[in-house]
Amino acid sequence: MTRAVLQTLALALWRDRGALVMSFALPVIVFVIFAAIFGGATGEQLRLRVALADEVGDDHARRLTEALAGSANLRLVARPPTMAGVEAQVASGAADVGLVIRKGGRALDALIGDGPAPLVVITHPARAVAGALLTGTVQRTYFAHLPDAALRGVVSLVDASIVELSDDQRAEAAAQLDTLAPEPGEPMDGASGPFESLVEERTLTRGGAAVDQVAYYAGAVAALFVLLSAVLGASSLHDDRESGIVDRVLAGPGGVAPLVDGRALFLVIQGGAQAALIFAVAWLGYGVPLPARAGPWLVVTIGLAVAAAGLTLAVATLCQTARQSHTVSNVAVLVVSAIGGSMVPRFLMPPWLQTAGWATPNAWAIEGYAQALSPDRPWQAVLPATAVLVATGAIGWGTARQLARRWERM
Amino acid sequence: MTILPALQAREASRRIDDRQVLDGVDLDVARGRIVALAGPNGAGKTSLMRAVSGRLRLDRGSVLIEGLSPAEARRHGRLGVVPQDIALFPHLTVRENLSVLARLAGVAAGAVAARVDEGLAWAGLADRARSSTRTLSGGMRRRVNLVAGTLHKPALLLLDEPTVGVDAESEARLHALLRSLRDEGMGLLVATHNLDEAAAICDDVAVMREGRVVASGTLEAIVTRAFAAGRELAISVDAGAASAAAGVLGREGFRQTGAHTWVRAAGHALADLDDTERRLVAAGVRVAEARLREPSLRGAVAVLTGAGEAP
Repeated sequence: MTRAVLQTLALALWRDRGALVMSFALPVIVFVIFAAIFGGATGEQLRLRVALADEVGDDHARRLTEALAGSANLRLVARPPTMAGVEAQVASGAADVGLVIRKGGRALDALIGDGPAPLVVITHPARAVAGALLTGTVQRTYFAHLPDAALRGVVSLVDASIVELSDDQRAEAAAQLDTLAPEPGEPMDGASGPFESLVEERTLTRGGAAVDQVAYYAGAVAALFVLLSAVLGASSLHDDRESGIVDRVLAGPGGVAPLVDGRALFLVIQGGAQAALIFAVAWLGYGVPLPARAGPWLVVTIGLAVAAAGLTLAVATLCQTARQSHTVSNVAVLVVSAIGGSMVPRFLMPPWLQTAGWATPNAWAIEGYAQALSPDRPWQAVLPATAVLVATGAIGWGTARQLARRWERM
Repeated sequence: MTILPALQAREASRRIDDRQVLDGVDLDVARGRIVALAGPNGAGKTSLMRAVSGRLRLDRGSVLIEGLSPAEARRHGRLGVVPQDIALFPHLTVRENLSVLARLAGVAAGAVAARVDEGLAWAGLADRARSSTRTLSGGMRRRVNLVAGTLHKPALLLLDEPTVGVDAESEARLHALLRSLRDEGMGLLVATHNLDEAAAICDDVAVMREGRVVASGTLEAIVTRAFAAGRELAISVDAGAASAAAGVLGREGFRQTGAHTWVRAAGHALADLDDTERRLVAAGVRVAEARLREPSLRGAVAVLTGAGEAP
């Protein structure tokens, strides 16, 4: 008897091509995508997009720039002439992180001394880890490609502090060097000891790094959940088909279109309310500047909700049953949310996935919210992302209407 | 002034793949008449209902509802549908359901409340207006299902098994409601396997087989067509002996009307009954009962559609 049940289930699975794909092909595809995302976030495929300004232009600066341009971990996507240009690139998201070889700072071969550090890493708070990654790469590159400058810095250090060493001086130097070594268990203020002064890290922020990070994740989470909730509402179209409501409605003057349109409007309102709730918590709990930027925020939110409604309705009408629609849509939402940056920031992904991310509503919504909640950005800055979201939603909505019409006639 | 029939189908034909699902169907449903659409599974009843509601494109022929094409009739709210399933929103109350479905049927926003009140009172559901449809009995849900299809006062109402799954009392109430719709001048086309129901409430019957209407007319006309002036010879066999008996009964010209019951046309002479029973017993059929009786619609449909005929 057990064998009969086993045989029945095996045959049912084998003959249901949809279930077969869901059971065996989809997990592999999803695994490959997630492996690429999370593997890329920690492995060698990571390539930060860097805006670099060389305000000095001397030989050391040129050599460091060339070495960084050849680094496997970095892509120099912009070369503005000044720090302000780098800050603009990082603020707009065109670059993940910025590096400035600063005019007015110490020379690159002066490890210590008076004056500010020669290198400045500019970080956006939503991509804080990018700053740490760039700092590490810069220091590694500096010692690998500018050993003469590094050693010259050491010599100048010796020259300044310890000349014509006598026995006493040697003993004192040894004692001084010993003081540089941390005691076991002693916390380090920086990662680089005395070399830390080579690089200064700056974070672009108005309301505090934590606030900007919360704003980023509020957008990322809103995009994920607006999509997930829309799946349920869109898939209920099949409940109407199976209960006979579609048969009844098709005898009326509007055909099936009111069922699609009514759902789409509901999903837009539902999505807007969800995003409002998430951002209200971000505002009340973490100080995200929602009231001051309510207009641009609302524009992006409407775009996100329209995109979620249109896309999920298109998938639902493409599917044959409610169950199929739920499964396909949920998997699709998880995949686009992963690729689009709702789970892992996109700059931590391999370049090809970062490019692919622009095909997801999540990436555009996160981009739109970043623009919307930046006080120094004009409200029009949200328009490109919103236009993409609204166009995506409109195409999905129109597709759903057309696909639903096949239920009207045979 | 000419009163157009609620439904007029002429030469309606449609082939799907290698199967002729409708084959030159002619059918009229006059205003103020209830017409039953009878026939075995696969006879074309559902296809005809779909064609009438404009959901099945015809290769040939036409379907007119009050002189309008199905698409125009839908646009003008002249067509109503009562599906076999309880086509209601389960999370809404009775009133909310009817209000939504009235709007979707094209009732003007300002008229919805009055139509819903009227429908609730008509169906005896006014005191359950605020109840969730999930809490209603099966019979009540069927009544709400019926009201929802009539709120826009269509000229033609298509019903698919309107009383399936309800008890006798609820069935009687539904029949009364259908008769009142007929009396108001609506044309009703009822697809049903329940031929007792068809005999109880329908004015006319259209019998379908293999995509064709093989007989149509009043109940009397259908019965006469099947049995002429004769009677119905009904044979019931022992439970468990039906499959063994089917071949013999089929060759004897009997048509199956129930799990253990076969009928065929016969004369009035009791000798015919005795002879037939003797032959069947001799052939090994375990006859439980043999009766010569007044012809029934069930028997007539079985005879006309060749149900259970020998291969």
